[in-house]
Amino acid sequence: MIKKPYILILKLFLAAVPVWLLIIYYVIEDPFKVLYEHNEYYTTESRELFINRDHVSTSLYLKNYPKYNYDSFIFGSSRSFAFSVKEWQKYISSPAFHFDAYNESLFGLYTKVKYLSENNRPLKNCLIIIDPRLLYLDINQGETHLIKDPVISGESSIIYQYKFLSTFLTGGFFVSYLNWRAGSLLQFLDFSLIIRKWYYTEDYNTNDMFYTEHELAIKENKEKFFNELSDSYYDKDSLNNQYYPHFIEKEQFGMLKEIKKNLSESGTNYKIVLYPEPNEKAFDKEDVNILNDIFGKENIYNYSGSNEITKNKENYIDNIHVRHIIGDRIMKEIYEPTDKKVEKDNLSPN
Amino acid sequence: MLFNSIEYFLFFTIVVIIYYILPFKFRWILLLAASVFFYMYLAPSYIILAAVIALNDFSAAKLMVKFPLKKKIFLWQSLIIDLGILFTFKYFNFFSVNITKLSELIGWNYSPFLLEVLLPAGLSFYIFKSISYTFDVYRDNYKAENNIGKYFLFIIFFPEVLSGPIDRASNLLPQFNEKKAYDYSTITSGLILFAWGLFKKVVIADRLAAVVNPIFNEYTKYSGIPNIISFLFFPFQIYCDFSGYTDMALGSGLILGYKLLPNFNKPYFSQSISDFWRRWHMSLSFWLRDYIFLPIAYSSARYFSKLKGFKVDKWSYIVAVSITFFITGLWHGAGWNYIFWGCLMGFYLIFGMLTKSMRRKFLKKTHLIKSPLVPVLRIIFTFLLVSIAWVFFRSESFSQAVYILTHMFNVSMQLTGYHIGGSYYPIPYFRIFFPVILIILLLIIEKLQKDMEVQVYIKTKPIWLRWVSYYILILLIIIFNKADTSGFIYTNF
Repeated sequence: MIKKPYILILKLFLAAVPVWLLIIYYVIEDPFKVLYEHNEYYTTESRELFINRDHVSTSLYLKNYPKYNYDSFIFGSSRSFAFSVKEWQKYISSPAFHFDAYNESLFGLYTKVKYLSENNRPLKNCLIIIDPRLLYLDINQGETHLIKDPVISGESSIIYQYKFLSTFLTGGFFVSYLNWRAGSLLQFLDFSLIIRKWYYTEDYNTNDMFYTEHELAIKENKEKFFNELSDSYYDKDSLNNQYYPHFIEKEQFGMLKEIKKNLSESGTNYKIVLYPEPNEKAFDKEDVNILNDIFGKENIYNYSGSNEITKNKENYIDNIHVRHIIGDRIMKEIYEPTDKKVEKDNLSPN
Repeated sequence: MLFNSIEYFLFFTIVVIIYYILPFKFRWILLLAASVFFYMYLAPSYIILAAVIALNDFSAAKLMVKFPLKKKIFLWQSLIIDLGILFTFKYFNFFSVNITKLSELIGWNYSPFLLEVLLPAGLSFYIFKSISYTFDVYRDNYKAENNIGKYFLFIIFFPEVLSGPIDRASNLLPQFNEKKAYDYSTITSGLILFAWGLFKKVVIADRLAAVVNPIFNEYTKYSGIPNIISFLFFPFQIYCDFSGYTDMALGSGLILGYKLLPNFNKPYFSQSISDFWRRWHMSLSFWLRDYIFLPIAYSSARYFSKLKGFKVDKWSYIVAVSITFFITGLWHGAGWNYIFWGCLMGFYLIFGMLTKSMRRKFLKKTHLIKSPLVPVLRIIFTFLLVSIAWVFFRSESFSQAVYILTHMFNVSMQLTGYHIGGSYYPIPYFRIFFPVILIILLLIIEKLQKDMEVQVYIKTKPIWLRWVSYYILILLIIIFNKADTSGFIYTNF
């Protein structure tokens, strides 16, 4: 008996039932919160699937813009959390938005500024927090928690959604995910499911993140908190007075020039902070000179290297992120300059 | 584009649909376009190299037909160009470095001249395919192809361009002229074979790789049980990796109605090394037999027959095996580890031939010749010999292989974790036991298959068992397949 092609198609469809079921589950569940608009992206659960922060920032911006008409932005990675819109507004008096992303890259910063400029969105003020990764990463990173939202990046939204779906369907991710949803944190074989404890409280109007739990823990028992931090902290003696390698090559230079061009065309009052990394490493002198040349020395605030902020681990909530008091202090030094500034060692450039 | 990627799934689905819609006379053009796209997807510029090789051998064959008295000249012309390309891209840097090292021994120091070229994917496979065609035309075993497009398709036919099978013109080229109608049974066979290959690759080989690779990568940190595990696991890793790839290639071909050459026939059930080479990478071993081993054996037999005191059969075999397996090793890669692996295999064969009558006499004397235990012991012994050779194949240096082999019996060391980049990661024992279960399952299925191919075997089972098997296979594949597709070992050759 000759079997018709539709029988083959039907059988293939039936054989793929496990795949269809998983896709249906994915569409209903939206585990990465990229399919639908959500009112809240972070829950009060003790642990959270590590979702794409760039997407959260972009979605909130697009959702809130008609209401708030933001014209001022804080850009950067999670290191910029310490620089809150709430505090910044004391100096700029404008509707502002915290437009950050995990591991923000130069590509991310470039595309965000470009998007705002090309869409004639007001860009009155901006505060850019530059860390080493942000200065050299000139590509769209592919991981689900890092890939840039296609609305801003201009890349294919089909490929973007495919990235999340394929991650869910493959590598045992969905097994780990279902297991986690069922209440267990046991990871399946060697398959990674990035779940982390969510420490922050968020402001869905400004997209600010606050280290509430950390500050509470410091308030309750400061000594205990920083003793525990010591375990993961840097061995300062072995790291002192080192410089980062030279990051700004042709590609980075081109993107930085474009950012400057867009900011100038928008008449933006911009300030750039070179982040105080707790490893006390300073940005390469040549890189700082390039940034000075492009953006103007008066707009660059270099807190990298060995200085009174980076020397004191009590200025950090972990081995990367500075506390809000430091963010507040830096903003004060930028916008209300006095004679007293962060003391720097001779080795720090600028 | 690898067979275990979503890109291939999409590409192949589109090709199959268009293929069966198109009128027959246009189908080979579609396959040629698809093959060019498939090959260029990896590295666009190397399509030129494939085209040069195709043009060289196609024209050589045509000239052989036109000028039969000068056909030897055209054969040499074709061989020089093909092997020159292969040498330049695959072996030049290896030879250059080794000649420099050799020069240093006589006090002549200079920096090696190195070419900054990447090995084009599948080059060794399709060059061998093309060489076999010119040889077959030269020997009047095959009529020269008239259509250069079809010949180019033969060279870069996408299911087999990256890692074979090393097909023969006599098998594949006539199929491009056959009218392939939609056939439900052939297509389902192809689908089953493809799924089985995918299962072997992503479920078994990649699971084994997760255990084996960290041990080989930082071998000095391990001894005892970890070394035994990697020694026993790697043969199955490479088998499932390569035969998985081949099954997917054969499955893809079958879905389009093409029967490609088989490459594996349950090699770990081999009862001797010569039996192993009749079951492992068959398209290569038969190629080597037809175009290297037999010509050398015949010509050396003629040479030894003129000399007194030489057993012609024995010496011609020794010479032919030595050269053939040196080339086998070299074909796999420009590295001493591959050459040693090939030579070791050759040594096994020669030793086996020299001791054959002695072993037979021993079995007769001890009345073990009819014992059912003997075939089992032969299988185990052959597997161990092959596994020893695989250690050299997998190792990056001779000293690494020797270290792994000589540190296997320090049983005090347990495998509790992996050393990766200075850190130690504890290992869940499930990661060891699960692959063991998979290996046992694979061997049971192969044993049950008997002489049947897997797609034929499964069709003999009741419908409920077939569908349960399909769902288990599909579930395991989607669980274990990773978004960042892992490569195949043999695509490096």
